[in-house]
Amino acid sequence: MTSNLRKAHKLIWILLFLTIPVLMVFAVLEIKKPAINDGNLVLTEALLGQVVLDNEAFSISVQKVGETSQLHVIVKRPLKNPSAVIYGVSSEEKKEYFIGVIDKKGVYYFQLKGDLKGIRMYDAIKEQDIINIEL
Amino acid sequence: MGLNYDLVLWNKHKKSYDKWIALAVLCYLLTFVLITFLTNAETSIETLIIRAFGTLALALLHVILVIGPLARLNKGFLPLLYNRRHLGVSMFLAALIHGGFSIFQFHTLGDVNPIYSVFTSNMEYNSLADFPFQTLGFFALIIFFLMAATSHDFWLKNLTPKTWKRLHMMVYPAYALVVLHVFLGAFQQQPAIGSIGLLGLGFMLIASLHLYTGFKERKVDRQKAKVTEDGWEFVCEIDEIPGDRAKIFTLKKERIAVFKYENKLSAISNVCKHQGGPLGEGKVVDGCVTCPWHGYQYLPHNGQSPPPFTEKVATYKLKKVGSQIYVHQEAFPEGTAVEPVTL
Repeated sequence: MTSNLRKAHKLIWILLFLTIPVLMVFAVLEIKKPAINDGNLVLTEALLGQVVLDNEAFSISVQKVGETSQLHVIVKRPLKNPSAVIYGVSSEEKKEYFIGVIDKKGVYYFQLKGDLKGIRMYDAIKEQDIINIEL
Repeated sequence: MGLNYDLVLWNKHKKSYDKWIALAVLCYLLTFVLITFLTNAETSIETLIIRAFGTLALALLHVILVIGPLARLNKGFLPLLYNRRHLGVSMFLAALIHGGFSIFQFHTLGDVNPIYSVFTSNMEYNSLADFPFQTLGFFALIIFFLMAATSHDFWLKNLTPKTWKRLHMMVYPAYALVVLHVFLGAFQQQPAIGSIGLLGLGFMLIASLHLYTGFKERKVDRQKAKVTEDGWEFVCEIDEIPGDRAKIFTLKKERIAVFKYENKLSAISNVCKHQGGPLGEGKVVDGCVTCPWHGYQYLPHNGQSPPPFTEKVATYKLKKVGSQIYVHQEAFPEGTAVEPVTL
């Protein structure tokens, strides 16, 4: 190599040596703690309400809050599905209506309209049910 | 070295190295699949492919970047340097499968152009934790593509060695992009202390080796020579040069190689016309100075490649005073014949 190329190589590596480790440290410091750990998923009475499903992946309950009902969904581990949309199955003629979307691990609360006949969690990309519960 | 532009100049060594590369890649992929099925059997096939080829490309990139400085430190690594080009193309193919499947899985199911989606599906460009890391991998992949596409000697010749070398030095910024792609992507989503430590150590190893060899080279460049009034510089004692080998010497900040062969001495530029390889670290084979990197050859007395090749390097005049060798500071034009010093 010519002396100019040798200098260019050296300068590039000095620059990388000084900047990359700093960015690595900042990136590691920015790693978010999981919203919820598997270990602290202890369901309390207040949270439980009427538990309709409790398995390794989800804990789903419906709770009365005054005149209305709330749907509590706890996602205990990362979903294997790229999309997870929750639909409520109405008592009236079994019509489905959109309730909300599930993203990552954590606790979700959704307001419910009227009486529910069932809850359906659907993966729109894979076009398959994740869960389908009749209440 | 070949006169015609064949796709690949196969020889038995290249075939043997390529078989080893293919075997290593296969073993890595099989091991990765096996470990995944044992530890996380629910992984989808798309995710498995993305992860297996992404980590494979990362591992190959580290091997590629470590070969250069290792070959400077130990000649035993020169055969790896000779075959590095095929390793580079293999790395690009692995990165392409990783990037292609990632774009397919995460960006093709909407109604937006997938490439446009890579840049716009996440607009958190002012956040470190949520930075759209896929864009970093995308730019690195573009650089790897340009390097793989121009890796043939046809492009080296037609782009000119200077432009070609600048293009291929883009591998360093590409490596930085890849490291950040992993730290802001995979490590944010699935932080594992072992993986973070491994990549951190890999970076430190590569950077340290490049800097160590870089500063070692500077010592050679800064050696002061004894200069006589009429422009001659003392090189070394004749006995310091082994037969069919050279003594590398720095003259006006550039290096020359003084070769001892057939009881004669000749001096030529140390920089090979092909990829700037150090001719003085090669040896005289069949009467020709042979570059240790890719085997380009030059006649020692005139710096010309033997016909039908046309590469030429600068030559220098030598003189012998007792047992001491002196070189004249002024270089002759490339390919100028100079009478060798007879021992």
